[in-house]
Amino acid sequence: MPHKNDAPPKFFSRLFKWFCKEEYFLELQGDLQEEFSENLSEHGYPIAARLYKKEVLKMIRPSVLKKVKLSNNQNFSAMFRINAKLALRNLFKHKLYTFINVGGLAISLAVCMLILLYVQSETSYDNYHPNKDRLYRVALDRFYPDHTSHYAVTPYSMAEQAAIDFPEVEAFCRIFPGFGINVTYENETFLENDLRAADKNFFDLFGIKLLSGSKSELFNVQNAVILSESTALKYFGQDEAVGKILKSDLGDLIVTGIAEDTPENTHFEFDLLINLELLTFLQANFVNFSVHNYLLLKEGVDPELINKKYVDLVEQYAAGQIERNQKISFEEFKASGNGYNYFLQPVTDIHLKSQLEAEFEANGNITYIYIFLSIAVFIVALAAVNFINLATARSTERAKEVGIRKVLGSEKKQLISQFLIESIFVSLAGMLIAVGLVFLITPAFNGFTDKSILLSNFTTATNIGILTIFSLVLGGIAGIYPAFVLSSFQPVVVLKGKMIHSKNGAWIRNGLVVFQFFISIVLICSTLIVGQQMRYMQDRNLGFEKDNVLVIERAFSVPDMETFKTEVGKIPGVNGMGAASAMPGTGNYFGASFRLQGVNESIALNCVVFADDFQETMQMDVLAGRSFSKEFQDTLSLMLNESAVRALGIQGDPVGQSVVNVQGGNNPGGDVVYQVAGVVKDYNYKSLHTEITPMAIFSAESAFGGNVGNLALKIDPNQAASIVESIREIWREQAPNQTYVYSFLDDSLLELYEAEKKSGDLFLVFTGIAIWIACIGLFGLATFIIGSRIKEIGVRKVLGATSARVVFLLMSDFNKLIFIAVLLAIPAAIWVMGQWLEGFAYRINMIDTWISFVIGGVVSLAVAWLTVSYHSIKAAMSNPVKNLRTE
Amino acid sequence: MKGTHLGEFQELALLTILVLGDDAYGVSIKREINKNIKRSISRGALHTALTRLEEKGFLKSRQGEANEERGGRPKRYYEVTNKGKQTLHETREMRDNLWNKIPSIRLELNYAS
Repeated sequence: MPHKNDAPPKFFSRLFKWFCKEEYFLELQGDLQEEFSENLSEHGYPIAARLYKKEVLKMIRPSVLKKVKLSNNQNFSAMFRINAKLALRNLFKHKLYTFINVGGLAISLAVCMLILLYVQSETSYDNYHPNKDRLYRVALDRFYPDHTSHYAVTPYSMAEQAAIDFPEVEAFCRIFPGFGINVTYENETFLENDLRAADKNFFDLFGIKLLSGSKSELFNVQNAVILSESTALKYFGQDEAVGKILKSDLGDLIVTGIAEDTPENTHFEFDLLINLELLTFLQANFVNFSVHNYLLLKEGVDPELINKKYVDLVEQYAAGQIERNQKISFEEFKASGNGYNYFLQPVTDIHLKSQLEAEFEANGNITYIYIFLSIAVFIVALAAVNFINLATARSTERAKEVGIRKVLGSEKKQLISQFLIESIFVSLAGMLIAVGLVFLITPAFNGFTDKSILLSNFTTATNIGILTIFSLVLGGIAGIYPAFVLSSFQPVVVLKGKMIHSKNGAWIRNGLVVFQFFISIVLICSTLIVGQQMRYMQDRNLGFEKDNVLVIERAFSVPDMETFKTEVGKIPGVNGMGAASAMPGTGNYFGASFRLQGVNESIALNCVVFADDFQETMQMDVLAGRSFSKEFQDTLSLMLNESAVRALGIQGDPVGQSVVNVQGGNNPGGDVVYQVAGVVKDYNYKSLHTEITPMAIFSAESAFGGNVGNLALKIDPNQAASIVESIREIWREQAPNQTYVYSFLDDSLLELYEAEKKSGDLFLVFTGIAIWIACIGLFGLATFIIGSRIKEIGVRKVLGATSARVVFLLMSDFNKLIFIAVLLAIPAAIWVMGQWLEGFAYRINMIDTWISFVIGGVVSLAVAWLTVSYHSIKAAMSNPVKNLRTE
Repeated sequence: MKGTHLGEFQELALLTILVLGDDAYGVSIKREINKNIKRSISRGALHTALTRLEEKGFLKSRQGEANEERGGRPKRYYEVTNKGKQTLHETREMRDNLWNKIPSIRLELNYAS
């Protein structure tokens, strides 16, 4: 029996039938078939199929191909030329229509192209690494009894051990996220924040190009440093950099190589890359999260397999360390709700699909990509709708033209082609202008989105091809409905001066307007809700005073803190100060394990260190007990936030209770017992995207107190500038070789919501464009409807209707449409924005957004009225005699 | 001379058809050419040559039988016409003349220089 695979590839045999001359077809098809069967029995299906395809493609030659028949009509090209000429004349004759039509199309296409460029750049992240399909980052879901955290950083040995134990792993690389250091060359000091440390094979796994230096020798010395091109330029100018020595907080660094600046579409960035071996505090470890671990898997390995193997790896290596630290068995540890779920993330997914803690930089969000893409589609759809509406609207004027052409013998086919050519002209013109607009807007757009989209990426042959085809298709689709409507007019009827409006046509036109306003209202409401949420976040009581706080970063660079503080305190306008290891919302917290004395089970808390006056400066509420202060010796006291009190299971008055900081392997001397000095009201120490989790606060006098690097100053806002300058003077005196870095707390907090703010602004722009386009459509529709009711209006006025009455009558028709649109738009907007708000732990109630819907509805109604009123008023004011007279 | 000129490939095709005798149709011709000259030609290329030869009157063809292996499509058998045979002779004579005019010493392969 013939098997399915006994037949030659279907597509190619069809293709052949399609292009082959009929007189040769039987012979050639037979020959091809015979050869195919022969090859099939000799070499098997894959080779036979391949040879068959090749043979078919080689058949494409003049002797075999059918003659191409462009048209049965000999006058085809002449017709085309005449139609083109007519189309142009028509477009120039109706300048206003052409302008709104082409303009609307151009703007929406330009917006669409910009969105696509943006999406293209967002989706191109990390696609240039040599083995990007096999390169993964190890990430972690860490389950705690009361919550789950997701980390991008994982323990130091996680990848290394996997490479040793799992045969499927080809290579691994670790990147330590780094810290700011001062770097000096020839008496010039810079603060370098983008310092990273990596394993030796960094440049093998990641596609960043090395500009000078030898790849195999880069990390031969422990204190090697590889500079980015622009950093090298900054220190050495045009001089040779390789071999030079930079002085830094980490000691002397020898430049061994220069790499290109990290391409923008990378999920990390470095200015200085040092040898991981230089950081001796990083030791073999399976519990403390410290580095980004990357694995290169062998060809064809399923990452799921590695995920599964990690479960055993944790049991085998991490369990022991956890048991030593926690003093309980790993089984008990897991039973209490703790757990580690390591998993691999494809490196190309990191930018858009990974929102973990301790990412290198704020990542993009795939949801925004989908939102923007749908907006792009909607905006083009709106413009296409306009096209249709405006063309049908003009049918009133063109009806006679069509009638006369038909009487003179035009076929329906010819009329359709004429209208199609017209609409394709419009869409091509729109596309050309849109491309021009994209060129104009891109620089501003780049500034706005912090991207460097290159126009050279845009003007590729493929893109140009796609755009041309797209505008032809768009013109075709948009033109087809009007073309059929206009060409189907009965000449006798239209020449008599009667207009036909079928119920059907009205339904489509109204439907289109409803659709346009539906989109616009959804966008208006969404924009307003985004604004509400942003305001909510800015106004929310975070549990501390964020206004008028000047933060001096890296204050640990000052050798004598007390003198510095005294000097700063003398500056007029400084109303108090206090230092901490991390500022709310901005800083890094460290983890430590605690248990209540007498309880076996310990939990991990986020920790921060406060110096004596910090709580007071930041005006945080102390609910019970006291804050740290000079009067007390606070080496062994700590404060907890409310969540920590609950998480530790403290009953009764927490003040005075003893909690044990479980040291485990790190401090063989044993655990340290702390007394709870006070309880701080929960404050949002991270962004409002996440909930407040349990936190312990150490005193600067405690063992953790070495690094209270952020000095917060409560200042008088009117003197901000002079205070900043006065401190600069003091800093220069006391820490001459160190960089002075300051920030204002409220600004830093705003930066946390930068992505939301940007998308809010983009929403606003899109909304504006959508409304504008919808108005154009409505304007067209108004022309059409009022045009066809002009006699009715005349009669009404003759019978005594006032102008105002007529205007009201005309408007009420449109009101109905807008109301339907509002009704449809509200649930849609609620759904979309509900999804968006999910991304915030602290968010406005959907109920509270009702005002946005009211405003959205009213605004769209007002805009619609404004648009329609021009025609309505003009029609209502006109002289009825003119309207009623027939020639 | 236009109309009677034989291209190199066309000459090969005519000769191959004569070799095959009664069994000369698309697939067999292609197979024979591939076998003898160690050059992979496509059926399409052969088709071009055969149509040209038929237009020039060097070939005639007739429809043959169909079989299952060919998916029920008939074969087309090719036969060299007298005109074709004559042209082959002429081509060969022309070539032989040239060969005869060359002193044999000049045809020896020189490896020294």
